[in-house]
Amino acid sequence: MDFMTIIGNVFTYSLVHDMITASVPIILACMCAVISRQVNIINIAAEGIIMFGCFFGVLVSYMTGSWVLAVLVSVGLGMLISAFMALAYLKYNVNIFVLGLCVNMIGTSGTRFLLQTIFKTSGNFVSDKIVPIPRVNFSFLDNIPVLKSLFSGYSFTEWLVIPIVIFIWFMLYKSVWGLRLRSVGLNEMAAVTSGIDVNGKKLAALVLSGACAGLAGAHLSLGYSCLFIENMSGGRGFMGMAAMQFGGANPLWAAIGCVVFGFSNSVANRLTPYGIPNQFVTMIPYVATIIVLSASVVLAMIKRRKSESALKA
Amino acid sequence: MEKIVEMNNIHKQFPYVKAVDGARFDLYKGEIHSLIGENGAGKSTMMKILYGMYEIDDGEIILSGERVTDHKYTTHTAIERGVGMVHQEFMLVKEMTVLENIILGSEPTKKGSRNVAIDFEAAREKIKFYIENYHMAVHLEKKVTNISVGEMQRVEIIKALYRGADILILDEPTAVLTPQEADQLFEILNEMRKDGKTIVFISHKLKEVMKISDRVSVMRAGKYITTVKQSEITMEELAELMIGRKVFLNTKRTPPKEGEVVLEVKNIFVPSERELSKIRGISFNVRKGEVVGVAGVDGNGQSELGEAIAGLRRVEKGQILLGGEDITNKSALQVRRNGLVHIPEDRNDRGLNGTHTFADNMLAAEIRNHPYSRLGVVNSKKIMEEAWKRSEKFDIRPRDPSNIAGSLSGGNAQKIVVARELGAAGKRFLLAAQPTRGIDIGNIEGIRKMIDQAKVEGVAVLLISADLDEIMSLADRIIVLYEGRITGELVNEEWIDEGKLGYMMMGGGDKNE
Repeated sequence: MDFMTIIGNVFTYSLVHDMITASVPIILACMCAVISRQVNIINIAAEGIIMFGCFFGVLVSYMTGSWVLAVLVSVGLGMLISAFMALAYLKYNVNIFVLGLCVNMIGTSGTRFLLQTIFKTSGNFVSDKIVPIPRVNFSFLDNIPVLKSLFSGYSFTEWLVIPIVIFIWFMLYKSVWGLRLRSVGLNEMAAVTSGIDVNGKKLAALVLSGACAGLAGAHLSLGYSCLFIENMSGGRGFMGMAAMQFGGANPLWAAIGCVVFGFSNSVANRLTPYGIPNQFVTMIPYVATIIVLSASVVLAMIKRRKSESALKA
Repeated sequence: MEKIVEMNNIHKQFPYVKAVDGARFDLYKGEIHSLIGENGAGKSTMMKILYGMYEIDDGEIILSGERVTDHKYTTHTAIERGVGMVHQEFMLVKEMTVLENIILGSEPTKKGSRNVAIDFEAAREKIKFYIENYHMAVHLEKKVTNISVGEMQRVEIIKALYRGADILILDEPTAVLTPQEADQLFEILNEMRKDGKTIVFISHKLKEVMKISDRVSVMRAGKYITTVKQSEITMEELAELMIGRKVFLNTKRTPPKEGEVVLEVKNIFVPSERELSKIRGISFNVRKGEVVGVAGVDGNGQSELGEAIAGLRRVEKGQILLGGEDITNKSALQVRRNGLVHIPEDRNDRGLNGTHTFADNMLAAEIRNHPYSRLGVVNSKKIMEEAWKRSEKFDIRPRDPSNIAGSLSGGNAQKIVVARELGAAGKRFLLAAQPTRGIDIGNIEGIRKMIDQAKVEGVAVLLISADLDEIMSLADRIIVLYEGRITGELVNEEWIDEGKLGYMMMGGGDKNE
């Protein structure tokens, strides 16, 4: 097959659907990084919390048959883990980076252990008793394949991500809560002297970011797919952090950064059948991460140099 | 008159120092009460305690007859009780707008939003009252990074008033202002007094204290000394109370013996994060055996100029020559090899490594050289020997150079920096940036003498200082920097008109223009 046909087969209208589907877990993970970055905390624990979210999502859904309960448990667990991190960080001065690293390592190995003890299996767990997050289908679009592909067939959480991002943006930039929260991240002393409870704000930010990562996990195992695989977070937590950096911790820009990753992810998936070595294909999202990050750093540097320059009148 | 604040027997211990040792303070409604003392006397700490920033170890605070220290007393409670404070280092979020900074912590909210959405319009309306009533011009929509220091201070004052402050504490408010801006501030404060506000004015500038106060309280070394009525005391008596001995801060300047040009700055442009601090084409020389003083209000490019010369900031255009060699955009190490020694303006950030010993700090600039190291292996014995010598010479207390630098008070910490820079061999040019900022009077005298002594030894000195007295007492020539340009240059003769200097610092040109 020649090169142009491959390109033709890869870049079709249905790529948009794939791209959105692939972006959503990254966006949710990214919101975790965004919220904690706004109080000047680099929270790297998204990866680990996502793994717990994935596993307990599947477990609760399998046991109870309720996807709503499964999502709630995952979100609650995310909040619990980050509340624990906040306690260690804010009260006992444990390094937040070390804490994040621990959560990530426990996330991978802990879920593997639980998989083996509870489900007596390893690698992955599939069962038709797992109830996934329902998909929203618009039957009136069934006759128009392009529109159907673009707007139909997304899971509930995929639609939910739009109000979530806008809500977070509004809360951060237009609400009292957000102004105070951002002031903590930008100048802690200014916040203290304005009578703001700095640690309270940090705790709130961390717990909320944990909720986002927990939701990302539940979505990954119940919305994006309907199974649990070891290591299924696949670096999405870190891609979310990179996108946060790209967007300067503004949820809207960061979400756009996530779409770029989602795009490269889905292109990679479509290239796999064409004999391009799998290793290269799976590299694409990470290479994209590096490129996007470098570009954003270089752009910021050029912009800074220009605004700093003494030469212009 | 009604007594609205009473602080009794206040004790506060910090890790290395007892900041406040059984001090007291009181306030009557509607007075301007100055709290004076040397740096480190505990006046800021005392007022931060009143503002709820520090918990006290012992003592009591009584606000309008109620003992507030019976319960947890935080900044939040202080603000609720009508106490406001303008700190020496402004507590503003630079990335946010003036408006956001003013309302931060007490934001008006839109109706029907359950106190969630901020009502910026209502905030603007409310702030307009203070701007008009006290004639304090501020740009509400600008980001704080882009406004002048004087404006930042007005923002801080409005911020406090907006929170409903009836008691306003100002911590060294004139340190960053020109004489004219200071006069404007005093007018504002007088207006506020007429409106029944009570003001605490922390300062060590006695002239200003005499001008503005109704009463004056004096602190020394964490202890309360006395409180007097302004009308019943003279400036000289105040000085004596403050210092505890008679001191005359007039370092006798040695007349310059000018030699060849050592530093030549030719039309340089230096970038900065702040609009007003960008250097836009300045040129000057410094000769061997003279001190050139750079005067100006903080933030007009002084720091950028110093950093550009020391190799710490990029020069976009123009040239800097040191001893005839081009050092433009050379690394800090290369510039030092050309004979630069540098007392940096931020002692804690750049001047000193607080976790290392005195000895390590004193020899840090020469550690590469024989005999202090050979082939990358440090010779601790030689370092200690030299450190002891410098400890004696520069009168560092405690003497023993194996102590950790972080434990020192401002004055002795700065002397270690001076010992490192002026103790070095092969120095040709000294760049001294704010060399006596934030240190006690006794050590100020000592450090100024050391700088004068360096000049006598034939070093060319560029002295950057926001302290006009310092410039006047040390510099042979003075250049005035305003918004990154030189607005005036004058020889420091018998008598310089402070008004004229102040005028130049505000951007007024010199006789040539």
